[in-house]
Amino acid sequence: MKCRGFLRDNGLGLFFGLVFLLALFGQSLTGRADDNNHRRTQGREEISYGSYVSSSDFAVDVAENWQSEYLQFLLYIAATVWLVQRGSPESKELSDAGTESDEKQMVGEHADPDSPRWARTGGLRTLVYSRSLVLWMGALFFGSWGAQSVAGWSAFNEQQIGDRQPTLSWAGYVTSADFWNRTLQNWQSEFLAVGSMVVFSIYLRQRGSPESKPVGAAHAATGDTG
Amino acid sequence: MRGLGSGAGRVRRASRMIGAGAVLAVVSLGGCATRDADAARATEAVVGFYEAFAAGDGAAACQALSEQAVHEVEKSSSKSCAEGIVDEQLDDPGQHVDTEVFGDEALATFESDTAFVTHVGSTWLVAAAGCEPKAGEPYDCTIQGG
Repeated sequence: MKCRGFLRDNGLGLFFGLVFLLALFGQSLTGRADDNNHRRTQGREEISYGSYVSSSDFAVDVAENWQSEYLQFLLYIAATVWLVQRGSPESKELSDAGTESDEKQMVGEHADPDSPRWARTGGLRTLVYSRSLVLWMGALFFGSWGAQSVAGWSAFNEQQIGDRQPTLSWAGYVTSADFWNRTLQNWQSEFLAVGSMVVFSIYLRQRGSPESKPVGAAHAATGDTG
Repeated sequence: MRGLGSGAGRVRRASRMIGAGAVLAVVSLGGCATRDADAARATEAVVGFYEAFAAGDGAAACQALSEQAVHEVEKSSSKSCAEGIVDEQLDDPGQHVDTEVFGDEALATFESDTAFVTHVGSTWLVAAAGCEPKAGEPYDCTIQGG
């Protein structure tokens, strides 16, 4: 019964953790198969599974998607502090734009007894904790974008050497078309998805989802979740 | 809970990705650690090839070549690789300058020559040698495989 309770209480996190691992494993299998198809046509020996998942080809394919996901959250968390969207459950009330009052944010003297300690203490700790989600998402974004640049640089130069072409320095790679094409093709899809969610949720509903307004909420109602 | 930007479910989903990020970082660092060893082995393969060639030992020189390079030598000379390779015009490459390794490919630069090396199985083999850069085009190589 304890286990069942744990699964129910953490179902959302566990579900996404599981489908993430399954998808990553599937990507590793299909990525290796695709790589080996290319290798066969070039008369090169096939790559083992272990070698593929530690290769720069796999790493850049993973990292370029991760950085764009974290950028999506970073921008969304930061932008929704100041920008509002009338009628969207993704937005705050129009009058709440900004970092809001200490009372509303339950910090310092307005903290509850069960508030996080850094929300109560004030000073630098509360200042940092008040922005910790953006700071952490930003660190993950820049970390995975950096990993993409290194793995992409290695994969690009491996291809260049295979084609008997000169290599690029890392600095040369991060200003190359390959790096920015990989980056921007991921960014555009994230921005489209977030923008679509903001606008579609004004008019469309999903009963029971906190990502949606209540089914009967007015189109003009902003910030409601159901 | 308010939507996409601050949903607890989103935060939990993010926490799963953080662990995976650490795995990616470890894999990347591990890759860097083996790069120096690979560069040394790739350089050894090229040096061994040039030494065998300079000594007129065609069989040993061909052993250092990739399968495709061997095939190209045989095709262009209409002889066995060991017989055909000694007729190739390869100059002394001079001192080794640098070897760059990216994945299964390496570029070994010498004072007056450049060689391409490829990782096959557990060894590094010379895929192209006697190469000169050409602006905007692939290197022009005397020994060329693949």
